[in-house]
Amino acid sequence: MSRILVIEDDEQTRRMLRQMIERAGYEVEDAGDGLDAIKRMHARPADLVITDLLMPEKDGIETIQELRRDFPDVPVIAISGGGRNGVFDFLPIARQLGATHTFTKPTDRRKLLSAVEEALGVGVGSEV
Amino acid sequence: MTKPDDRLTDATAQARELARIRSERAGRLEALGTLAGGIAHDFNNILFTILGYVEMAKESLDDDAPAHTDLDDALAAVERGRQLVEQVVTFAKGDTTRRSPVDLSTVVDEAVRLLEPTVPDRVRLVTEIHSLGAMVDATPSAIQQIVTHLVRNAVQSLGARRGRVVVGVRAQREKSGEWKGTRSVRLFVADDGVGIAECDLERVFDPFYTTREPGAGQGLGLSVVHGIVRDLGGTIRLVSRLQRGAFFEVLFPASGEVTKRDPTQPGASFSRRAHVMVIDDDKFVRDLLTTWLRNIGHEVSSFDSGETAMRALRARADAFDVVVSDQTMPKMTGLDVTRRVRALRQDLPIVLCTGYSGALEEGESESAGVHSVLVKPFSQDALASALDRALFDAARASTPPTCVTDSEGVTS
Repeated sequence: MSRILVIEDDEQTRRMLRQMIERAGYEVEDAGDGLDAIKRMHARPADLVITDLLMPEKDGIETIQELRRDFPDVPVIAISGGGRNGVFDFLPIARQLGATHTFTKPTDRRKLLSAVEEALGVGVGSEV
Repeated sequence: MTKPDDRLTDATAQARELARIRSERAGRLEALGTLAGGIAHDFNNILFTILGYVEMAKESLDDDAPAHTDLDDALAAVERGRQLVEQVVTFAKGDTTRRSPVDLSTVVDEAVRLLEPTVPDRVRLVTEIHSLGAMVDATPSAIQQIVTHLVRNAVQSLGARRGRVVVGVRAQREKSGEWKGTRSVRLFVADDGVGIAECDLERVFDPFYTTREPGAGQGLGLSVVHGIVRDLGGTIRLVSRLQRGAFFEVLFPASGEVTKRDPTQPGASFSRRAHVMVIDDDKFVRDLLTTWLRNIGHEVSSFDSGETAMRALRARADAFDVVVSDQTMPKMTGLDVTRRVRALRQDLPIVLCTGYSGALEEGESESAGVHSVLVKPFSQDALASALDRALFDAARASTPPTCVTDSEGVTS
């Protein structure tokens, strides 16, 4: 069974994501910020990471950068509720850093789960 | 009867009051933007949670359960909430898609006046408007953001020392480079601050990149400028040397002018499946480009260096339709690749990707035989558009002269 790490600082959203993904048949671990997530990944790497972008301690952008460096083969899906400063959208940056899929909240279950399937199936490798 | 001295005092007081009102308004707009962004972020989290649970509830119901109707109404309310948040965010950040002809000199002048009260006394903020009525297709808020971020960056580069920041506007017809023959409007911000070291030049537009002390800024300002300029179809140049200050110049096509950079240009689209050679030493970028190109229907072979790519090209010179290469690579640069490709195949178009447009000397890429330059960060759409144009031009070049359509007038 594939293991998915969900990184989300909003507790209700985190719980909902956990339930949604578990019901789809995956094993889920969750973290409330990037710092905790990176520790968990080093302890036991997940097959896929789903991360929020604006979080305390270590935000999603920094987290993705570290994940790409330390776990280059683990695909990352980024979800964001929009920039807190109101002028800047971080999702294009997440894409540029290598997130395989990006979503603006609220996104529906079908889209998110099909991205999960695709990311786990396709991964991020390519021919060289 | 009012004495001349009294009138002067009145005028000075009015000017001060006007400056105070403008400063307050700038502060209010900034605060409103921050508030709207914060509410939008938290509200989207709430909507996402509701949406997730409602969808899970629907999933667990039998298909004919009456509760489906109630839950569908809840989903419709979530959608209304989502649209409302989108409107608030659009208002807060301004929408570059709803642009119209804007007098750049007037908007820049207004933006500088709004910034004046925020600039320390040791810094002289000077405007040099060389062209009045220089129209560009934009939104006033997008121009204000560009000026604000560039001026803040200039002021910060002065640190604690005295200095000058010059903000200027000039309209002209470009005589060389990619925009040759195009009517353009240039917005420039120059400072005599600490300047930028050569090794940092390529990265100043990267998000979160800053050479300042921690806490002195997130390093997002120039990335925001870069994004807005790109959305508006413009380009940005930077000239700087350490301890010699910096000169940022934003080029916009004059209102009504169509440039090579405009992906909406009629007739520019040329979609066909092509075999693309991607060369980039960074695995993440290579993978990203590969994914994007496959998304738009192209076949891709990717290479981690110019050397391996050239080996493949020598083995199968006719196998590729277009090359997308990074410029900055350890051994063979993108321009080196271009020269080698030219020796093997004259007709193979090359799209060069670079951290910023100033990385290449003016005319350097053109004389080497590069078709077009994409400045990072760029979108999938920008890549698709550059490829369409490269393939279109390559096909046109191989077409008998009688079939060639003259599009030079509109492509600058």
